[in-house]
Amino acid sequence: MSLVLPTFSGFSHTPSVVAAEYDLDATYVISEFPVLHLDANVLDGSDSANNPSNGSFVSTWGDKSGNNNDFTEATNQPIFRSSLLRGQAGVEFDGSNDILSDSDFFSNEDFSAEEATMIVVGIPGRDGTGGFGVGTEDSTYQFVKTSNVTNATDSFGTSDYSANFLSSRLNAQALDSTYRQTPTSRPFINACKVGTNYQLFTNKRQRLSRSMTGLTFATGSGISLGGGGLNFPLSGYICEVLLFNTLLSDDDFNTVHDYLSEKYGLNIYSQISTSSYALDESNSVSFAPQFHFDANQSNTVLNSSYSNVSDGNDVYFWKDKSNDWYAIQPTATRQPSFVSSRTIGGTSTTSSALYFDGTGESLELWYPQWFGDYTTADKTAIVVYEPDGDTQFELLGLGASSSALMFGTGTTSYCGTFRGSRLGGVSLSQLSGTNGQMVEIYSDATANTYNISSQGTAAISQTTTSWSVTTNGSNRYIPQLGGATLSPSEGTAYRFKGWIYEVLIFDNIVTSSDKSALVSYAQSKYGI
Amino acid sequence: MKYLITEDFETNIATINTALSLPSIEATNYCTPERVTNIEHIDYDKFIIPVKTEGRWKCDQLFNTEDLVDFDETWYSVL
Repeated sequence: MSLVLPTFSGFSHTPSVVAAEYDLDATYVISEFPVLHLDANVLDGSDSANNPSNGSFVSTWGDKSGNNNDFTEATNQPIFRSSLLRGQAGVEFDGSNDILSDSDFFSNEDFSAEEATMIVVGIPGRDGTGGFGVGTEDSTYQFVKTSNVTNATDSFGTSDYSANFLSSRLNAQALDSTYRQTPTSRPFINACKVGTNYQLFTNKRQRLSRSMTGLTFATGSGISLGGGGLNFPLSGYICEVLLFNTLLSDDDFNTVHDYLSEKYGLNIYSQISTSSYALDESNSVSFAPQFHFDANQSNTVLNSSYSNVSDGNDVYFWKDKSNDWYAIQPTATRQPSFVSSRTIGGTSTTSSALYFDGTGESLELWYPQWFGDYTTADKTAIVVYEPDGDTQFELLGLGASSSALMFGTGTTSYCGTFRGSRLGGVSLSQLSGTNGQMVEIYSDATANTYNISSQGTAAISQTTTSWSVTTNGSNRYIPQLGGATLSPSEGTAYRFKGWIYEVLIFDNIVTSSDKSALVSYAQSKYGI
Repeated sequence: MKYLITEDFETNIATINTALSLPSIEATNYCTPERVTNIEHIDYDKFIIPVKTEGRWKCDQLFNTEDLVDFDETWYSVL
């Protein structure tokens, strides 16, 4: 926390700056002071050196804001987890009766202006050993309960609700006209702003904004975390909570999200560019991809400290060079490795690559529907890859439950990428189980076609799209590079073994000239 | 990669986590619980723990060699 005092210039006593600032950390500063700041990395609210050991019960989570709004529990105590994301800590709630509360919070803090901003980093789902990932989810939960409504006041899964700071809850799909449901697994940033409007955000993407007219601002006497003993307790983790008794300015709201994004390695929303996008000096496409992963791009294949991964070591982040969004893998056994220089099979070209060993290594794309428009089937994916003698594999899982674009020999291929239900028993004879190659997947809502090509040669064409918002925009399904969509378990039989050199995913159908440019670019770059 | 088939996921994972100093900034967890889902398999409903035999997360030295098995695609129900 810092206070910038008035300064004096010459003989004038006119203060040049009078401002109070709150330090989120050494880098990020906001102009508003929170009334509550819970940070599991500083569990007692004052010094991380006092943190308990991993797995200890939490009797008190101390307020870091300086307002002494500590949260406590005598009996049903959650568990301290020392390293959930990038070494950042969290508090694990068991989904049964674990809870932390401050029973007189609203007696001590002034919310009479009927404004509030609350930002939470949480993870629905837990594996019971302090982890999360494949096989974990919680579809009905609450992070923070702020009012006296009977049911949960927070957001939850298949039918969304919210009643934070309200006398009754808003419910179901009316929360989001584009049906981007609250995530049911994997970490995210949940935010609620209450002023003249009631606004909800996931990873800074606004999912609801409506007038407070007809709604009543209300709080309970206390506030609790995890919802234990109440409706829809959380089975998962809470890492950080920031609560303000004001409507946070856009600048401060953005700063808080920047701080949390960097700290936890979470993607936050920004609008995808609609300007033309240069693939290289000779080729460009009409608009920027949603994700562009390029193993040859420096400072994009990263460990958890955001440093470049050296040859042969494990990859935590693959940073997209279009929007700076991450594909991520925090589970040790699933991290692919970096190959700094490989002569691509069937060519004399060398390239960097990520190697997936065929045992389940993959990188996850957490909630791409929050970073684009997943209400339509207009999508394009390009993957440049090389199977390591693998004749049955799932390469890019994005769409149909537990499925992907699955290559098999003869007519045993399946196509699930960008589809609600996969095409079965088709031939992808243009693809092969060895050598460097390229696959292009074009899902076109307007033309009602779903085409797959390899280096510009049609493999499957004129098959209708199979788009389902509830599948492709689902809160449950986790897209993967190098595997099938997780739901939250996975189809494990056809894990990809081989190298992935580059991936482009467009939140749109590219033009015919774009298609030519993409093929020309990949052939020139990789010699395929 | 080898695999350990076990009914006691938590104990075996705790052993691996201790040996590899997990959780850490490098990884949240070693693996997540995964079960044999093929109801006709003799190990149905037991946990499958992948055991790395090389690299940063090598931990096969923690187990008896005879307890480690190769990948078995019949662990899983056919999709």
